[in-house]
This record gives sequence, C-alpha cells and structure tokens, in this order.
Amino acid sequence: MATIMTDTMAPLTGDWDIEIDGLSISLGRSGSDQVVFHLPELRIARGERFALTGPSGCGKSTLLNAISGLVAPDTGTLKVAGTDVSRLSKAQLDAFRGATIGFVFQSFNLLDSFSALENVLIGMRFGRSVKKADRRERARSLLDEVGLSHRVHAKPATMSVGERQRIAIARALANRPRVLLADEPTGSLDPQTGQEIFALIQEVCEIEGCTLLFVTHDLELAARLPRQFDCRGLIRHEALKDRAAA
Amino acid sequence: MNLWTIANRYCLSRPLVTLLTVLGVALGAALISSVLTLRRETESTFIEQSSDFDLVVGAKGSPLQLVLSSLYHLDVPTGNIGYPQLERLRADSRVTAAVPFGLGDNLQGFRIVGTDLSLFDVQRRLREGDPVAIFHLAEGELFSGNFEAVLGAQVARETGLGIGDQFAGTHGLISIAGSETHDDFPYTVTGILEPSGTSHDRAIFTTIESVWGVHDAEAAIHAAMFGGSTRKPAPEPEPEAEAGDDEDVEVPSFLMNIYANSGDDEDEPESDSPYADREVTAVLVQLKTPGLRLFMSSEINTKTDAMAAVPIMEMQRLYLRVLGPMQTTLLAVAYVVVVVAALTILTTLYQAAERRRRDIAVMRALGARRWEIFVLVLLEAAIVTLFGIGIGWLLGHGGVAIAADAFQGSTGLAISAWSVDAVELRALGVVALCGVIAGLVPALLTYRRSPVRDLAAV
Repeated sequence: MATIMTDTMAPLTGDWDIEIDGLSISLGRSGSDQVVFHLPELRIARGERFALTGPSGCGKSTLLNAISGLVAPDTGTLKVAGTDVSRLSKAQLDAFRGATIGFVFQSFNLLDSFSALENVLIGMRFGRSVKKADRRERARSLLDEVGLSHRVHAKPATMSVGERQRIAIARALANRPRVLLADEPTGSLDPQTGQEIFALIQEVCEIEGCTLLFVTHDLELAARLPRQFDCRGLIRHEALKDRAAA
Repeated sequence: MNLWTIANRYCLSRPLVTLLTVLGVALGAALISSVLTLRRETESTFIEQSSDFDLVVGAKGSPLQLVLSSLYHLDVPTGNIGYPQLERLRADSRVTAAVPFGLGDNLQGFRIVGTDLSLFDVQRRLREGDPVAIFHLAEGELFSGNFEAVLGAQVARETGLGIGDQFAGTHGLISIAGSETHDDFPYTVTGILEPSGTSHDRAIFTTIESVWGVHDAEAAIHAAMFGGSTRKPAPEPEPEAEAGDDEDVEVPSFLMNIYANSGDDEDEPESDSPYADREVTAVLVQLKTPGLRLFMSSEINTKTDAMAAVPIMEMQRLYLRVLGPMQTTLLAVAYVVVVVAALTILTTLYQAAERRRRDIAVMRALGARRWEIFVLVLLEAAIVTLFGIGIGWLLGHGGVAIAADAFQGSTGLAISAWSVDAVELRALGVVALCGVIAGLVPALLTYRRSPVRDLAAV
C-alpha cells in the first residue's frame, strides 16, 4: 500500500527539532494482519508551527506519542531536539519528555482534584526544568499569560471548557518545552472559543519559542499554519505471512 | 507540589472512602494497642504486687483464691487457720516477716483488714537497689489501739473519711444492701495512707483484735438469740449469754477488755500464745530469700493443716492459663481486623488507581517517572495506614485509660494507660507493614501500565 503524504513547504535545511527517518511502529494485530505505523521521513525545524491533519485513526496521535517517547519505535530514527529518543532508556525517556515536550489534549486532561495553579505546578514538579523556588511565580505568570490570573485557585470542574484548555496550555508550557504537541486542542470547543485557543497557542509558542505540532481535523485552521502534513496512509495493514516472508 | 502533597490531596478527594479505610485500620490498631497495653500493665502491676510477699498461708483450698483474697482483696478467703500457725512462722528463722490478716467486715465494699503494725514494716524488694517501704502515711498515724483504723488512699477518697472520723463496719466482705452494720463497734480513723497504686489502697487496716472482738460479740448475740455455741475468746472466759433474750445480751468480757485496752498495749499478757485458740484468715510471709519459697510452701503444705501459696507463681499461672490465652485470642482477632483493613486498603487504592488512570497517564505525559507513580500510590497507602495507626493508638490507649479507672476502682491497681513498649511498637509496625504491602499491589499495577491507552481512552 502506497503512502500518501502531503508535506507543504518543507525547509531544505535548518536546525531540526524533529527528524524522522524510516520510522516504523508495530501497533498490534487486526485479524490476520499486523497493523504498522510507518513514516519514511519527516523534518520539522526549530520554532516551526506545523499542522498535522487527517481522519481519525490515520496515525496522528501515534506520531505524537512516538515524538514524546510514550511509544517506542521498532525501526528507524527519531530525533527530537537533537536527541535520538529511540536510544533512551524508559527512565531517560520520562525525564526527556518532562523537560522537552509539552502536551495539550483535546479533552484537556486536567487533574480535577487540583486547582489551576496546582495543575501547572504539578507539570513543573514532574518536568523538573524550572527551579523549585521559581515554580510558583512562573505558574502564576503563565496563567496570567493565558488570561486566567483571576482564577488561579479555581478547580477545573468550576471552569468553562475554554478556561480549562487555557490551564492545559499554561501547564504544557510550564517546563519551557522545545516542542509543544497539541492533539486536537480545539476539538471540544465551540468555533469561537476554538479560534481563541488556536490564536493563544500560536501566541504563547511565539513567546516561549517552541516548535508546535498542531493536530486538527479543521483544514481551515491547519491552512493558517505555515506548514501542513497530511497523515493519511501512515497506518498500514500488513499480512502476517508477508511480514514473515520479508 | 511534592508527592506527599499530591497523595494527600488524592486521599482527601474521596473523603468518605478514605475515612472508612482509616477507621478500619484504626480499629485494628486500637485493638492491638489496648490488648497489649492491658496485658502488659495488668501483668506488671499484678506481678509487682505479688512479689511483695513470698508466701501466703491460709486454709486449704484454692491457692489462687487464697492469694486473690488476701493480697488483692478480690476473692473470698478459703477459710481460717489457727493463730499458732502465725506464731510458728514468726519463730522460723527463715521468715523475716509474718503478717496476720483477719477478714470479715467491710465499709461500703472496702474490706476491713485486721492485722498488726508489722504490716507497715514490710519492704518491697527491688531488682536493683535497697528495698523500699510499701506503705507510707499521707496523714495521721498508724493505729495504736483497738478500733483505730488506717485507711487506704482510695477508701479515704471515696468515703470522704478523715482523721478522727468514725465509721462502723458492715458484716461480710462485699457491700450488700441490708447487711448487718456493727454500729456498736465504731472505728476511729487515725491515719490515711498515700496512694500506692496497689490493692492496699482499697483496704482499711485495724488491729486483728478489733476484728475478733466484733465477731465474737456478733457470735454471742447470735447465740443468745438463736441458741448454739459461741466462740470462746482468749484469753478471758466469756460469760454465757441467755438464749432468746437479746435485750439482756452482755458484751463479752474479752471485748470489754479490748475496748478497755484500746491504745494501750502495756497490759497485754506476756504469754507466748495468748490467742492459742484464735484464728486468722491468712498470714502474709516474707522470707529471707525468694529462693526459699518453694521449699517452705512444700513444707507447710505437707506438714501442717494450712496451705501455703506462692503469690508470684499463682499470678503467673493465672496469666498463663486464663488471661494469657484470652488476650492472645483477642490479639489474634485484632490482627484479623488489621488484615481485613489491609485488604480494604488494597481494594480502595486499586479502585482509586483505576479511576485515576487518566490522571496517572497525564502525569506520565508530563514527565512523571514510573517510580514516582509507584511511590505516589504507595504514599496513599502509607497516609491511610499512618492515620489509622495514629487514631487507633489514641483510641486504644484512651480506651485503656477509661478501663484503667474502672480497674483501679475495683482492684486498686494503677495502670499506666499511655505507656508504650517495644512489643507494642513492633505490633504497630506490623500494621504499618500490612498497609504498605496492601498498597504494593495497586502501586505495581499502576507502575506497569502504559499511559498511551489511558490517554487515548479519554
């Protein structure tokens, strides 16, 4: 099965934050087939804002999980911020992820037992990129940056969906990540709030100087980013007997 | 935000479940603490007091009953023995003290013990250092004549009697409504003892002649009313009372003699056996060395009509055969409660970890190490367990403190409710270990779980 990808305006050279060559990840079996994620090549420059598009199940989240080190590649090279994550141990991957990657999820994934401020502080606790003494001040500053300075002690359950996503953005930026992975962050929001969040993510990435991978089904939003990548065709179903023969 | 704070917050996020789990652990810990404390304290106080005398000599019967009735003022005596037995013991070179005890009356349930001044000279042998006096006067002075009394501390406190006050004894060893009161033979309080934390705090001490006198008079009156023989007191012969004519009952001359001699021992006959046909309830014996206990008791048991019991052996036997197994059973129940509580911790944390799969996956995505997630779940178990143990310790010892008051009220023995020893600390350590082990299962399951699926599931 041929891989169909669209990578617009790829820079020819640069300081790569993400370098992928021949990445292959086994995702389990489906009947008599082996499901495999395969990406021959992808390079994203430092500070680039990059849209990942494609239908559900096409491999967008798998790509994000691979970049963050949550799933390990079977073959190929995957370098993030200059580090070959496929060579890192599990403990090193955890540390690397905490310090280098920021996550924003579609369903916010906030810790409901903790306030907005505490959610950001917990992000810093596990990321360890910010000195202990500076954490509280930075957390407040980030919440101010996303427009939540008046709700730092509010619990997520008492906040609107837009406010919750703002907390998630502040938390994702807490450890000054090199790469921000935004997995359909506007998917659960109404169009107007979605636009606001989209704009906010771009703005804070600009301020914090991080590379953005923005997953979305909304092609209009994707078109507003400098570069897009269509993930259709990344997932293959390979017959087990063929794999064995190969 | 450190792991302890995060774990604590998660515990507080499910207050009812956490509270019930903590209470489960607390119940087990409370049972363990209370049983161990009660066992340790009652044993030590009972055994400590039982060491004051090497032998108790009394009428044949149950040795334990003899010890309990004479040393702890708890059970009924086995009977009486002849006064010459006391004299023989006093004449024995192996005996350093032989103190007579005569029982029969009480005041509001506190036993009136007929004895002599030698009781107050007895000293407690210590494992280290010089012996110390068992009895200390708090106020007043010891009795110097008949119908004078020295009150134990608890007696003085509960009856409100003070120096110079008078009271009358009631027939019998326990307070029963309608019992006959010896109003004609009032005692005068001359002294009050300091609290000793022993059963002596619940006793009233007077001369043994006073106890004899009251009962001789009672016997004479009884004989006069209903016929039959009366005991002939020594040394004075008793005039015969006329049956059925209580108005004309004469107080025995012996008793008159006792009253006449009250406070003045100088006129006592110099005879070796002035009370040859008198009886005492028991003789408390201190020997030159504890090593003579078994030999002496065997000798008395085989060669005389009396029975000698070794108090410390009887009390240890009581603990080994009766109280020990009972307490061991209670302790076993307590450990079962702890195991159940540990299973509750396991279930609670497992369910909590299942409910928090998303949170844990998010933490992993934020960079949390696997060991941090493991420690986080384990800390929740530790928090629940430690709070449970803390509350349980307070409940257990608080319960013992309440029981200690009741125990001291009925036995006079003082229990230190808030003391802790290595055994209890070890037992509570086992409880803590159970809690942590219970937390290991959900912690390991969480440790091994991949966050990818849980992140995708939301």
